[in-house]
Amino acid sequence: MKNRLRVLRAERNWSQADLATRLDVSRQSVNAIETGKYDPSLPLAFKIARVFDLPIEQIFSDESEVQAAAE
Amino acid sequence: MSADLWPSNSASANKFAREVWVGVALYLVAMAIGVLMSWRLHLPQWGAILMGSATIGYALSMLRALLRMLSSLDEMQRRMQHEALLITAAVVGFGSFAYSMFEVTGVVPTMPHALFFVLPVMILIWRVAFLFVVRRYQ
Repeated sequence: MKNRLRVLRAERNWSQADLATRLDVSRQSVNAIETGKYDPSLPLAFKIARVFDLPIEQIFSDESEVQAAAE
Repeated sequence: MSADLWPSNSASANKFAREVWVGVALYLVAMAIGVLMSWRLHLPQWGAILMGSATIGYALSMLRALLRMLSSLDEMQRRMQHEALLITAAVVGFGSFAYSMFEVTGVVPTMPHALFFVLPVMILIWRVAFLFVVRRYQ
């Protein structure tokens, strides 16, 4: 699963630690989500969407869908 | 083990460490008293079992501390701990079973009091397994 977390965070000038505090998770979890090493659960994904005030599909996208669209 | 990958809340981490070390200390004291009394007083079998049972309460308190620590972690940290614990259970379970088979068949010499080593080996493997799991998520 791809996500725009790093871009959205940079737009708001938030550090990983800032975002981690807002999401009530560790900084390592934010880093792992940003680098695609860990896919968040649905509740955490919704929480991320709420923090950025965006619909969930504008933050996360299915990689196979992205590839299909590119082809 | 990276401190940041332990409970993100340092109060939880300190509480866990305190509960576990107090539990370990009480467990060892209870076990030592039980063993010494069994030897010195030549207790019958039921007495020795009763003495040994005194350690169960401390073992349960350590289990409670571990479960509370797991519930204080965020979802990724919890997943990493679960994976590390699964690896530990598999390695210790299959390892001790294989060693016992070797002992029975005479491939390795019989080690006296081999069960004493299970817990320290388990803790060691848990630490190593956790470091291995952490690398996958970094």
